[in-house]
Amino acid sequence: MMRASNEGWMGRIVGALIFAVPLSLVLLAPLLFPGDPRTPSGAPFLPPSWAHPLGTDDLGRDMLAALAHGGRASMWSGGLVALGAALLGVLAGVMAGLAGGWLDRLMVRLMDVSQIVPRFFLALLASAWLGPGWVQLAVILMVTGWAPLARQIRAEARSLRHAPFIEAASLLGASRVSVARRHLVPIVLPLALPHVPLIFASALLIEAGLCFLGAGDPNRLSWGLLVQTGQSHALRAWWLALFPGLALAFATAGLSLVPMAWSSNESAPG
Amino acid sequence: MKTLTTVLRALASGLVAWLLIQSAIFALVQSAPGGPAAALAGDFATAETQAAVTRSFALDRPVTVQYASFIWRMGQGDWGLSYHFRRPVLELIGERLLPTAMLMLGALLIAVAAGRFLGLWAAARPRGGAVVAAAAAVAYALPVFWVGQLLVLSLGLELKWFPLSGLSDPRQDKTGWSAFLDVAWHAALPVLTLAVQQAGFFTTLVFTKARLEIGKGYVRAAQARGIPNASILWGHVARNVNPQLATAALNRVGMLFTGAVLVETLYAWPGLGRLLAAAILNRDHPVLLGVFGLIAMTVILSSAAADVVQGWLDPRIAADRGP
Repeated sequence: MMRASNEGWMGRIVGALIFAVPLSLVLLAPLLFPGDPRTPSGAPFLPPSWAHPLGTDDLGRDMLAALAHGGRASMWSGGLVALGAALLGVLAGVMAGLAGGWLDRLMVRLMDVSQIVPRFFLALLASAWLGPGWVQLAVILMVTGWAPLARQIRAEARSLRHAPFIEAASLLGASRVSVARRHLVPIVLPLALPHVPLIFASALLIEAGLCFLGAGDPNRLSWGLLVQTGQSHALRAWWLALFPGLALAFATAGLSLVPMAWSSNESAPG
Repeated sequence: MKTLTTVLRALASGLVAWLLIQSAIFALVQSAPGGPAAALAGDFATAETQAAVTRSFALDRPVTVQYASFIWRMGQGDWGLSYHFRRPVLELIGERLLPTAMLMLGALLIAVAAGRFLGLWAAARPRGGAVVAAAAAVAYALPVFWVGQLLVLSLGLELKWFPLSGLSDPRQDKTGWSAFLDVAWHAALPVLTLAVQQAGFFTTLVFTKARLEIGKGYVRAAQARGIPNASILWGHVARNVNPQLATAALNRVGMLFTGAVLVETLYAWPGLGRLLAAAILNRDHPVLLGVFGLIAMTVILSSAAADVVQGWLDPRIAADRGP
């Protein structure tokens, strides 16, 4: 009836392969589609054909070229958010776990609160007030995305706080910071790895979701922006609605399969 | 007695959280470019409107007074006036609460039932189970509006099984049972869209938990007693999965709101999500604040409920908290 197998490895490989499809498209964009993707290259609303594999949009621009070039912005900000949030999470978790006392209680309270309100709505409010720029969005997503990771790191750091090698280092006169940096962080860092692709995926989804509602940055070519134009022409040209979401789906599905080996409990999108 | 303490403790920490969140929102309004009056009054406000907003939100007073009045007003149910609809925000929210609640509740029930079944089924199968778990992870990761667009294109436009938008058929005035059926028929696609995504989450959750449980001693003991595998899975393991599933379902309210906003926009479902989307486009800031406050409150209340329910369903947790 039972026994866990090595399915995690499979998930990791399949996930990486799926993610490689949109990633290679984005990386090869300057070679495959040189020139400005915003200049029209055919009649508007052309359905998919050999000349335009994914059709053209309302202004006659090639959808595939737009996806390849637009993905750069999405991937950059998504990756940036993932790295930033992971960094914050490790820092906060190690600090709370090692220090204990009031600092620990404060951090746990912060984690609780930052997880209460769905991040999507915070991002929405921020874009309504501060304007729909990607920098604000990236900062909001970083500031709200670190808590699940920090929680886990904190638990691990707490359990290691009185481990012999940590106490030995302290007794030898190492400062708290250097104990944390040289002895604790290397141990807890692997815990952060499965979170990175999940935060990445949720950043992509939130950006696209904001654009879908019309709260995205209209001046920056991204997958979200293509989703937005696709939605407004969905009934007239199905390919405009289908393909930006498909590129996004490949990226997020691939990213969320990658960490299945480590923990299938944490799942981030939203 | 113990339950009462748990409830009170959960409510108290919820209140603190709500205050903290409202403070964060207050800070966000304060830091808006051009000052809070400009942000609250919108881009196209006249000087008089700005002056009125300044007065009614006490923006000419010290920040501490402003903060107190902000919290006080929300607590009293004065959530301001919509600039676009020219009506109280609370009234607008009240009208749209039912369709959204219907959508969320329907999707949640389907997703929990499906996730419980699929997760348990997959956990007991070493090979097929991995495929189901992977499919669940993918279903959860897909953009919900895109899944909705696929459903619209296939079940709606091609097969014409379900209507594409709206809450009911405006051409017919139905009452009673047939009105209910009409709404349910219109709700099919939106509820299904939201349910697919959430079922992915619950399947993953149940799958992980059940795999842990299956490795425990009581399962082996039951097998040794000759109990069939099926009754071990659906009788013994399922019982130990239930508490986590129930609390996870209550803690999902926030994510359900996120999904509902997108799904409602896609299907022109007359709920809070569309109100919110319209408020963004119209720069209707009081409505934005109001919907946000409601979402925060609902999420906090349901997570307090999750704490209490967990204590009921899993006696070990109540025991952990001491006498």
